[in-house]
Amino acid sequence: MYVESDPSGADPCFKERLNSSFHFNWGMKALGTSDIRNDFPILQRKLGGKPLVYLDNASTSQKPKQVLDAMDEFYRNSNANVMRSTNSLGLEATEIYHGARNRVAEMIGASPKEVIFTRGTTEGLNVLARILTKKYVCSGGKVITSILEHHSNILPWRNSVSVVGAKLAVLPANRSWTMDLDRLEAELSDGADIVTTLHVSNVLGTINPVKEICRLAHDHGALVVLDSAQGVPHMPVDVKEIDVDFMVFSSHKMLGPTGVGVLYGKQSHLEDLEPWELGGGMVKSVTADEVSYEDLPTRLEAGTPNIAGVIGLAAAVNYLQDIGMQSIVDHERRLLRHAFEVLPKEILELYGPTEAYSHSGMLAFNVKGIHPHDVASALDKEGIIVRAGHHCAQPLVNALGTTATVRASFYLYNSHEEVDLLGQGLRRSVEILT
Amino acid sequence: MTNENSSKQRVLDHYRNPRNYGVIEDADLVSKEAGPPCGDEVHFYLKLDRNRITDIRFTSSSCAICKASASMLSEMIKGKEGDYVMNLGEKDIMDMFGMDLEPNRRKCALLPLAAIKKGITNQRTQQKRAVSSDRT
Repeated sequence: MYVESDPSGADPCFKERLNSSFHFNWGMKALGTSDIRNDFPILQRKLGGKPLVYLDNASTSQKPKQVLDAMDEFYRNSNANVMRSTNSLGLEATEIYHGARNRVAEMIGASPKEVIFTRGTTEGLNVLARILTKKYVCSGGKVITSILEHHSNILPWRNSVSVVGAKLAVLPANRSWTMDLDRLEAELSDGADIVTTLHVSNVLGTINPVKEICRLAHDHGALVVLDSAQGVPHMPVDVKEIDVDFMVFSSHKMLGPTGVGVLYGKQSHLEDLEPWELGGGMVKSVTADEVSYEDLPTRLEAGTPNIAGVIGLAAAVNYLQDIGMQSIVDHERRLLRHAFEVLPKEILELYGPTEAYSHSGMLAFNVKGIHPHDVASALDKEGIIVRAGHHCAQPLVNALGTTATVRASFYLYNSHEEVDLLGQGLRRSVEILT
Repeated sequence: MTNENSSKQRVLDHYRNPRNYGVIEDADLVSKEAGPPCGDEVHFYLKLDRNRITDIRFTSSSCAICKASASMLSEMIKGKEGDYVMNLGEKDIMDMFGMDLEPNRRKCALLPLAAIKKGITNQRTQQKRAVSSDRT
């Protein structure tokens, strides 16, 4: 049994100071040690004879056996279609599926009616761009986004606004590589319908002031769509506290399976939306010329959902919550601080802010004089997996003054020793390639 | 030293000390190609005597595989005819490397050849247009 990292609810900074010299959370499972690592089968394997050092968590996370077992268990014992069957197996599967939705909703402080399952963040953003633009943005209207975004939060909007003859305003970042609130307010004052932005940068790990963004947008009558693909997996997120209108994220970046995502919307907003997909499982009745749809959330989930995937996601949520999201924040910050200390800065070009407190657990850098893909290849030979490229955020990477970077991104199972190995691997890449 | 190993050393040497690196100011043909996977970019500068490549230089902002490929390719095609270049394919480039490349690095290795072929094709199209416009 794990316990929450902070049962007393004490000041998290106090706890961070207290824990800074050793990487235990308050109690039971120590992050980044075998306590956690033994839950992840893939972390036991070797790559080219070297232990796997997995530092590409912003791309996708690894899966603990609790998640794999939950999906396996469902397929082995309870598999049936959900929402439409009256047989006992179908009712059992439906109950498990509803339970899984409740767990996910609880994690983000939403009601189960507000949690719609999708295939992932990309599908969520595409759907929202299409239907929100059509419903709320007129010809001559405006959607605001930023240069920080992943391509999946720029391209769908670029397309959807062009269909209605509206404009997409792409805000530059401020000096700390988050959304520039002054520019945002100026754009909002000029009239805007929707603000869509990311929660945490998938390149730099910088954290957007999302509560402020929502407050400003709402003051000017605009809706906010939040891409939390890099947020929900790594920090406590409460949709009511942020007061966001819509939020999307992916299961596979938070220990769950691929092919599942969440589209959160405030209930009143979701009730206003016409179903964007039509088919089985989402209708009350259909006659020759009339149809009445189910209530939320079912009316927005046509067809047989990814049942086992949703169950896997719920198991991942259980795993994360048992450890405690604040413990994960603290752990990633310690890793990041350690990285800023031990990585060979003399050979590196670091991008973005270099204070651990303002960051989620990732960093973007280049080794001076060596192409990032060559660095990644050299690290690969040492069993170290990182990402190299433009991270599907070319406008941001270009604004950083480069075409590509290396990115190392951490999660709860990564250890200080693995950060040390990254440092050694980077030194070695210089020996090989210069 | 195994063949694979000596190939690796040769490729690394071409990356560290690229041959024919630089610009030809009065080039007869300038060609550029960029590849999305690595963000590689390579420029070729050719001097031509009719169809024959009498001099060749390149610059690149690219990964090691792409730069080594451009360097080895420049040595291979200097003094050759345009048709010789147009007939080169993926297998020739892989033979030139003499070692296995991972699928995503093959794209990097093939980019320089694509750049030169694109340049030659463009030039031929322009020449044809010029000829047909002379006739009209």
